[in-house]
Amino acid sequence: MASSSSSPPVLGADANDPATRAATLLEDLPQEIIDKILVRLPSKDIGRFRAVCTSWGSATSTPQFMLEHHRRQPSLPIINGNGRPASLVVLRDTSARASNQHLWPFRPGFKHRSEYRLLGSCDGFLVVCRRSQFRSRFYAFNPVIHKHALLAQPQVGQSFYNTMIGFYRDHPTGEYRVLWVSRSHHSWSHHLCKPGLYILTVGSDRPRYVGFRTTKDLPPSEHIMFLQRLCCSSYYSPPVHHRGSLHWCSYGTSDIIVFDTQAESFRWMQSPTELWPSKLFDMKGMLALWAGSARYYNGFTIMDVWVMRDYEAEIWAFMYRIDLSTVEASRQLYSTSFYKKNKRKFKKKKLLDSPVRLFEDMAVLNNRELLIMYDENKVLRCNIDGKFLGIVNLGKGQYYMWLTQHRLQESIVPIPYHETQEEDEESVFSTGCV
Amino acid sequence: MDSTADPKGKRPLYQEDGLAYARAAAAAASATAAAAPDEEEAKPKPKPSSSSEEAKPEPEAEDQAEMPPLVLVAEDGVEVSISRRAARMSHMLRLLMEDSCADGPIPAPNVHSDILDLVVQYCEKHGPYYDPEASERARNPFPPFPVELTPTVSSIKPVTYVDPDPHGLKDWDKDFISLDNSTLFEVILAANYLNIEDLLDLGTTTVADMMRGKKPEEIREIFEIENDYTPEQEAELRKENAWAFED
Repeated sequence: MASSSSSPPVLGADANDPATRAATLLEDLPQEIIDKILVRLPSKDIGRFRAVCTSWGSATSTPQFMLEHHRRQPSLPIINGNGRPASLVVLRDTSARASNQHLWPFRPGFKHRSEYRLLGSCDGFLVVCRRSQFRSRFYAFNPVIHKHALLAQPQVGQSFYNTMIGFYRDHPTGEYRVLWVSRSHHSWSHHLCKPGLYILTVGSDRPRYVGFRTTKDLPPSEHIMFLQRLCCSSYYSPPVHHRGSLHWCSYGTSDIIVFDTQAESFRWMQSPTELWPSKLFDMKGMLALWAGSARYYNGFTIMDVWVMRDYEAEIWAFMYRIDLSTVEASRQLYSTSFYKKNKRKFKKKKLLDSPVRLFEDMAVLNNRELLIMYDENKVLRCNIDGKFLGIVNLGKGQYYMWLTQHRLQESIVPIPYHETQEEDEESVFSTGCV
Repeated sequence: MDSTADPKGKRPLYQEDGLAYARAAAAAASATAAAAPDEEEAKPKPKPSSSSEEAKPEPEAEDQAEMPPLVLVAEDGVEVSISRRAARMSHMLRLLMEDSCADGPIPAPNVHSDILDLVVQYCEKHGPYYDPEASERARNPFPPFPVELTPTVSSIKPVTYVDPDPHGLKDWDKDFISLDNSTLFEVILAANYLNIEDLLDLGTTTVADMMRGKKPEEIREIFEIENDYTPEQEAELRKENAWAFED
C-alpha cells in the first residue's frame, strides 16, 4: 500500500550518496500535475481541499478545472423512492450494502414530496417544479454544491399555466436554457387562447417569446393540440438532447417531435415502430428508443430497443429484444440459488420469489445492463441478453421505487443566476438544508 | 540538513525544451559515437534493478528487438539502458527513435538514477503489451469536449464485467507503486518529463487515492503543505463550501 507517513524517508540515503537529496514534496510538482491529481477526486473532497492552501483553492475553482472534473464523473440514474423513506436517490450501486446518495435536498423525511416533481436534468443541473394550490415555482439546482435558483416564468398570473418541456445546454453559447409552454387555464378554445412557447436562459430574468414554427404548415386550430400533445409527451418522458435538437416521443402517435434549438422550430421524425409505450434515451452518444409490445392494460412483456444508425437519413437499427419470459426464467434460477446461499434474508427472498408479470418502464444502467420497472413499483436489474441479475433496493429494505428518466452527472460548477432573486422562504432549498 | 539543495524550490521543468534539448544532445553524442558502434554494447551494464523481469519481445517486432537498447543518462551520470520495446511507452523516446536520434546516450537531467531504474522497470514490464490506441481510448471514454456533454458511460460496473487484465499487470502495478511519497513524486516527475502517460496516470491516481476522504488538516500534515490562509479567509472558504464538509 502506498505509505502516508508524514515525514517520508529520503531515498538513496542508505545506498549511494551520503549527502542525500532532499525529499521531494507534493508542492514540488508543477501545478498542471497537481491539477491532474485533484481532478480525480470526488466532488466533496475537492470542496474540502479548497481550504488546504490558497493555490489549491484557486486551482480547483477555475472553469476549466471544474468542467474537466465534471467530464470524468459517471452518469447515474435517479430513482424515485416515493419517500419510503428515501425520496429521490442517485443510484450508485444496486447492492443492498451500498448507501445510495439521497438527492439534495430530498432527504428522507422530506415532507412535501408530493408537491415536487423532477422535470429536467442536464450536465449536473436539475430542474424541479413545485406546484402548490395557487402557484407553481420552478427551480434549477445543483445538488452537489447545494445551490439553487428560482427560474423566471413566462406570463405569471393566475390565469396562466406554465409547463416546462425541456432543459438543455445550447452548445454554441454554452447557456443553459429552459423551454416553456404557457397556456391559459380557462379554455382550450382557439378563439380565446394563443399558444405560447418561451425560452428562458438560466441567469436572465425574463423568458423570451418564441413564435411557434414548424416545418409543415399547421393550421392555427391545430397549434394548441400540438402544444398540448407536446406537454403530455414531456410529462411522460423528458426530451433527449441530441445533435442540437430536442427529441420527444409523441404521446399517442407514432412519431418523434424534434425541436431544433438553433432554428427554434419544430419538425417530425418517423419512429421505427408504432408500438406504445415507447421512450427515447441516449445510448453512448446515439439516439435510442425502446418500445413495449405484447401489451396489457398497464404493462407489456416484450421490449425492443432500437438505435439510430444514420441521423441524416433517419435510419434506425434494431439492437436487441428483452422478453419477459426469458427474464422470468432466469429469475427463477437466481432465486433458487439465492435461497441456497442466503437462508436468512426472508424479505428479499419473498420478493425474489414473486414472479415478474409485466414490464412498465426502463432506464439504462450502463452499456451492458438495464433497470426495468415491473409490477407497478419494483425494479430489477438485467443485462441486455435478458439475464436477471437481481432486484434493486435503495437502502435497507426499500424495494419499492419508480424510475425517473433523469440522470445526474456530478458537477461543482455554480449555476449562472441573477443576483437579485427574490428568496422563496418556503422552498425546501431554503429551509434547514445547507 | 542538506545545505546544498533547496528542498522547497520547484524543480525547473524541462518539458518544453526537453525534446529539443534531448535531440540536440543525442545528435551530438551519436556523432561522436558513430565511429565506434561496438562501444555501446561494451558500456557498463545497467544498475541491478530490484526485479528480475525480462521483457519478452513479440515475435513480429523482430526488427525492434534486434536494435540495441537506448541508453539514458541520469542526473548523477549513471547510465540506464532501456529496450526499444519498452521505450515506446515514452512519447518523447518514441519520437526520438522515429527521428533516429536515439542512437547515442539520451540525457535525462533532474532524474536520479534510482528513479530512472524504477521508470525503466515499469516500461519493461508494460512494454510488450503496450498499445497506444487502446491506452488513449481508455483515458478518454467520453467524446471530446465541448462537442457533446451528454453522459455516455456509467461507472456502475456490470455484474458480468470481466476486468480485462490477462497479464496480471494491475496487481504488479499496485506493488510497484507502493513507494514512499518522495519517491512517488519523483517517479511522477520523471514520467512527466519522459511523457509516459500510463505511468503518470498510475502515479497521479495513487496520490489521489491517498487523499480521498481526508480532512484539509490531514492533507496538510501528510503532504507538508503550509496553510497560507488567514483565519478569516479560511472560515469564509469553509462557509462557502459547507456542502463539502457535511456528511
